[in-house]
Amino acid sequence: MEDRQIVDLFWQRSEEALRQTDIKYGKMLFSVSLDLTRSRQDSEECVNDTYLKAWNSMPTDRPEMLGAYLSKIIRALSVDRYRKKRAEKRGGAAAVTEELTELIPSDFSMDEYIDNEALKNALDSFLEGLDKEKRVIFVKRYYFCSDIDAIAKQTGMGVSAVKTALFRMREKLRAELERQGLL
Amino acid sequence: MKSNEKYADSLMDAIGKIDDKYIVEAQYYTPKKRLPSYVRGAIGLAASLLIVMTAVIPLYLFGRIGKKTATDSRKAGPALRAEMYSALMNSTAKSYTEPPETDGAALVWQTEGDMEYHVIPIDDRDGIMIMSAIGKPVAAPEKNGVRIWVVNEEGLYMTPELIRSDGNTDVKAFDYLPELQITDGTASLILNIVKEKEK
Repeated sequence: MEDRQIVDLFWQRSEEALRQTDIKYGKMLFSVSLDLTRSRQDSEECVNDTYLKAWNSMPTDRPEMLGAYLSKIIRALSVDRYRKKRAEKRGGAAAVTEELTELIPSDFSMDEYIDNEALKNALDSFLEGLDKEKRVIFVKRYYFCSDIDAIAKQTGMGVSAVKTALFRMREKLRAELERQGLL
Repeated sequence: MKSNEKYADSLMDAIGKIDDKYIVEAQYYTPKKRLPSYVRGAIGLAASLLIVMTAVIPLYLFGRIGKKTATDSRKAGPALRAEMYSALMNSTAKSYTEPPETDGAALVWQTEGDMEYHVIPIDDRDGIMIMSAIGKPVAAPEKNGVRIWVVNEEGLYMTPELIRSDGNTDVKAFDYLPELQITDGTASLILNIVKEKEK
């Protein structure tokens, strides 16, 4: 079913919307969550929570790209879940967060308030400046928290080439954030 | 929580809000088809072989290497170059006051202090052989010429840039760059070409 038709079902408050969403995006959402939480149980719960959140947000939201919209919800839910368990468990998001921590100077002193909107805009602009292949690698790693091995398979590149590309992109992102006064 | 961890969390949150188009792009990305590594290796090997064959086969085809000529067996070094010098001096080459244009390959030379250009038109296949012998790419027939700068009977030099071009004189000429000392093999080849022309 087309995204537009599924969104219409949400707007009509039809439970068929949830069934069709599960058919079309269930596996993808589970996979995104599993990469982040590394827990099947947590991932299943996150998928269900995602459907609930989508149900509550439509209306008023009318997403044009339903897959991306749902992936943002499940990513946020999975990251939250990971953070709650961070002290006990090292998950996929832990490794990615650790990588991102590397690009921040050790003497970095964060203001009480981080301008998330400015960060988001800086990231969009950074991604726009990358070539497609690099951008896909970045998004797969830091948005979907995919394994480097999996990214290498999906992009047809070698593992070391992916690692090198990620390292260079982190350096580039660091420079960009510094330039914009965000780091 | 350390402040850099907190910042990394913020960064993770910000990445979670990137433009939808980048998410969709990554979800549905299919890599460009790359040839398997063994195919790429085979192509590289084939290209290398082609380069070698381009340089060597003309010499075999025209019988200039792989068999010794009478000249090869008799002389080498200064004696060979002196014989070539003598053959050039005694040839029926035409002389020009300006670098001449020729329809096909040619041997062009000057002696030290010489104001004239001496030219022997040669067969295209001989032009190809000379270019192959000195390791230069084979070009169109009229560009497969050699300018020989004859210093004296002992030392014979060729300009290393041997392909005919517009050069630095605004006329059809050979590029003039620091000289390259001629090898016995090339001297022998030129000597044989001149001798055959003069028969």
